[in-house]
Amino acid sequence: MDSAVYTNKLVKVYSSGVRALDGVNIQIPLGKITCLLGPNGAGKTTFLRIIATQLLPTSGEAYVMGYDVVEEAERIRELIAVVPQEGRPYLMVTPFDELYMGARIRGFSREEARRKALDILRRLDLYEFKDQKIIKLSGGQRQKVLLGRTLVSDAEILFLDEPTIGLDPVSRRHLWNDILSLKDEGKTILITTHYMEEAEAIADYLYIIHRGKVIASGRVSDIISTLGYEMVVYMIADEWEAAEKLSRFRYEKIGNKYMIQVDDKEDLFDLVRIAVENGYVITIKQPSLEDVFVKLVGGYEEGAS
Amino acid sequence: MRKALVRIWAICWYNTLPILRNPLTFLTIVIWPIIPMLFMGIFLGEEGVRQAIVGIIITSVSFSGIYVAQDYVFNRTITKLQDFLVASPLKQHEYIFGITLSSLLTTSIAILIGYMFMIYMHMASLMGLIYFTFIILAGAFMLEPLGFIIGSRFDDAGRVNGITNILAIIFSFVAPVYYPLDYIPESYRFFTYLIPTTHIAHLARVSLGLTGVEGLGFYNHIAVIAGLTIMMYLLGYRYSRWREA
Repeated sequence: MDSAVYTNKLVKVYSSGVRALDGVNIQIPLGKITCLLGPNGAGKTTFLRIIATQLLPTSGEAYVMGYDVVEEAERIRELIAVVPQEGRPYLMVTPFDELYMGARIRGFSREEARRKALDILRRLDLYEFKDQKIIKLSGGQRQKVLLGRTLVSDAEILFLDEPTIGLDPVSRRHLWNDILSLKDEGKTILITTHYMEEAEAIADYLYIIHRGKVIASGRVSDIISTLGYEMVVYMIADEWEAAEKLSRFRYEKIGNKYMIQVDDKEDLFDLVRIAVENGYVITIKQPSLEDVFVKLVGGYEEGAS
Repeated sequence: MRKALVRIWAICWYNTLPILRNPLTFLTIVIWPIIPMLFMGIFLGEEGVRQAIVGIIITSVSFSGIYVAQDYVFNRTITKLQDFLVASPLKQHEYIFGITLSSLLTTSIAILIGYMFMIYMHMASLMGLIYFTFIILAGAFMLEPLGFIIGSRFDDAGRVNGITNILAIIFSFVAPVYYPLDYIPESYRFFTYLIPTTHIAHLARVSLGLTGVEGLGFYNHIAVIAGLTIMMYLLGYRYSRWREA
């Protein structure tokens, strides 16, 4: 079996009439980190909740390790663990309490649960805070507690729903490292996020979801290469003539900022010359996931309208 | 079976910790039902204290059922603990048992204080005490699903808190819980019969010899408790959310 999760034409329509998923086909490979990337309301959490057996689909198929999410949910629940979106630990308990509870509901004995909780706390650099009430911990540490609560389960498949939302950049990077180390242990991880740099940093495979549909999928580098141009030049120009001077290039404009797609060196040199001659601020970058995302989501909206 | 019990106890323990770690909340839960006993003792003497002891116990049992709603909605919508638990081997009924047990444990101190006073004041024979305990357990069994029904109907924790507080007042002070049913004029009794705690409190007083069997009659009160219990569990099963549709 190659896929930990497999869905076919998965549809979810809420009682309000909102079509959150519209025929989604996704395969999540074993032992890898797969990211679901999409704007808010794209359907990422709905997808995760269905495969985590928290929500029933309207139609289509979904399997986790070959088990049907509708008919065989109890078998799936033995294999998975979840960090819910915007989950919060109880503030008046300690990190040890949280992890100990997480281990006990998996049926571990008191001694085993205690040992596992302490091991995971050490691993997540939370050991020195193990007996402090969670109300005294930072946002990043609280998020690590939630991650720890899933790790004590020994589950092979982890579903993390926007685990770094609201964290500062340093805490976010710490959590990425923790997640990457889980992959090294052979765990299969599905993460939903709307942070591009997060997907670029940790994803082996990526699905971009928008309005309940998968609009791109593959390795991050493959998805970026679909853009079809070599460089992206950002130019900040606050005079109205700038648009005229850049008219022969393909660009998007947001305020005074121009994002110009460049295919060859001659064009790049021309742009540098224009910037130097006119005193514009210029930044040259390789295309990023954000560029793909903006193109795909923007294009999708144009197509839809 | 053993694993199920471990899971139930884990949820119970985890859900009780925030209150145990917050002494003021714990103290409030314990003191709140005792306050009427103090006033009834001052103004009505020993007979008032006897009636109030029954009130303390019934109130604590009904609080434990009603306030489950707050835990339930808090875990579902604020902490998202329920999402974490659904995707684990824990079963829905284990979760419900765990939360209920936690709620009963929290209020058990007030119940124990009530029992201590009952024994100290020689309020009942051994058989009377056993019968009283049976009635109290039946009441607890009846009221526990109520919290789940309320907690699952609303997503707004603030609204649930408001509803549970109003219900707590109705169940403890509008119903004849701190005084016998006979004190209510015949023409108004119909309204109190609509409140579940009326029937439990009345049968509890009968078991202790604090009042006669009048009211609806012994078997009718039993029938009402049984009927309400079945209804509560059916509604609880129908409305409580675990895996969402």
